[in-house]
Amino acid sequence: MSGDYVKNVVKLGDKLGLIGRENAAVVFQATKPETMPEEKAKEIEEGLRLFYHGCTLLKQFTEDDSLKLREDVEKRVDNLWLLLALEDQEEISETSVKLYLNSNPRITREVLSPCVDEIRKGYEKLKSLGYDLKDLRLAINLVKTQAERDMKKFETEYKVSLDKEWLSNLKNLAT
Amino acid sequence: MVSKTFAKLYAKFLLRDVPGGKEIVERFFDVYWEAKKLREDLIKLTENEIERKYALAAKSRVMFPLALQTASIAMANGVSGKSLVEIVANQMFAYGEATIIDDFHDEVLLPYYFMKIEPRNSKEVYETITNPNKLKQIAKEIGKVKDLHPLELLNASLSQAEIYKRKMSKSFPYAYQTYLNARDELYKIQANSLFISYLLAKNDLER
Repeated sequence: MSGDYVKNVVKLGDKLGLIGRENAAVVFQATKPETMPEEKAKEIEEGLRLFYHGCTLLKQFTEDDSLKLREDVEKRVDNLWLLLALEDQEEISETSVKLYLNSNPRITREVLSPCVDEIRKGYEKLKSLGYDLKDLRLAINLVKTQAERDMKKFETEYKVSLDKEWLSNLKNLAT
Repeated sequence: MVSKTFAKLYAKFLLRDVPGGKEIVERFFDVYWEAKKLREDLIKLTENEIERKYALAAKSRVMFPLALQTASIAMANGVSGKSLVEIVANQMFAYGEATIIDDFHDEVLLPYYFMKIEPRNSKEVYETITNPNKLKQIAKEIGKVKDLHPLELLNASLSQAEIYKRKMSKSFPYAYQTYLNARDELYKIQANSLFISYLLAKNDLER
């Protein structure tokens, strides 16, 4: 699989990721304590951007685009799994997505691990800066629980087996 | 309120492994419901009934996580009370704008492209989605689509944007500028995404 193709598909799935990332920056700018040194504030803002970009992008893949596959195939809109399957398939259908995922079991990890890496980097950055982390643990847990549940639904619905190493990495993150 | 009780119970179940999770849920839900009410009270001032209906319906899958994210960051910065509710409600307006315009693009603009104009590239799509006057013209031209009222749908998004601008531009000008830059970046992705949907539907995606 071409890395560039995957990267471009992920970029297209980035609508929600971007909303999460910039929402974090906007809220931080609007609420940061006035006494916080500017340099530290910038670093925290970047850490929050990274953390919430990973979280919301992961949601986009595991919740939105996974569970809406049938509807999206019918409407022919840019579902991410559908676009990935398009790399190898001539026809676009639920069957072509199933075939693609069954013959490329590692694809889920290749697509989702970068999201987990972002969450990790953001979390560690904020930890090193002494930013309050208990609510970030809550965010990780919410994303993990939803991702796990939705990917299970996807596996049952489409009879595919997905590589879930990324999920173990997420589980270990904030424990 | 039954839905609030169920939502709290469900959230506590989801967070059963998180130390202090129950307390966070309790604290967060109170803020969330108050902010939601503040947002709805402002939307209810909208005179057009259909427009008001569209604005109130914008509470899809990301509204709750976005409000949680907003509240978490503000609380970590020591914000509490009325200011906390205010900032969560503000970000709900921003998300309301994004989610309603997303519906407009998918349900109105895309069908318009099939019926009237064939976009040649994503740049053309971008030029359209960043021009509210052009979108209004399209909404008027296309009339009703599958029980949708395009103009009211568009206006619902524009009015959410207007409320957000009013609430943010004076108090938090720098944060508001960050939002505007992000919205432009979002429209670039959206233009690509709409163009690909158009090609997919026409069975003409270049690979």
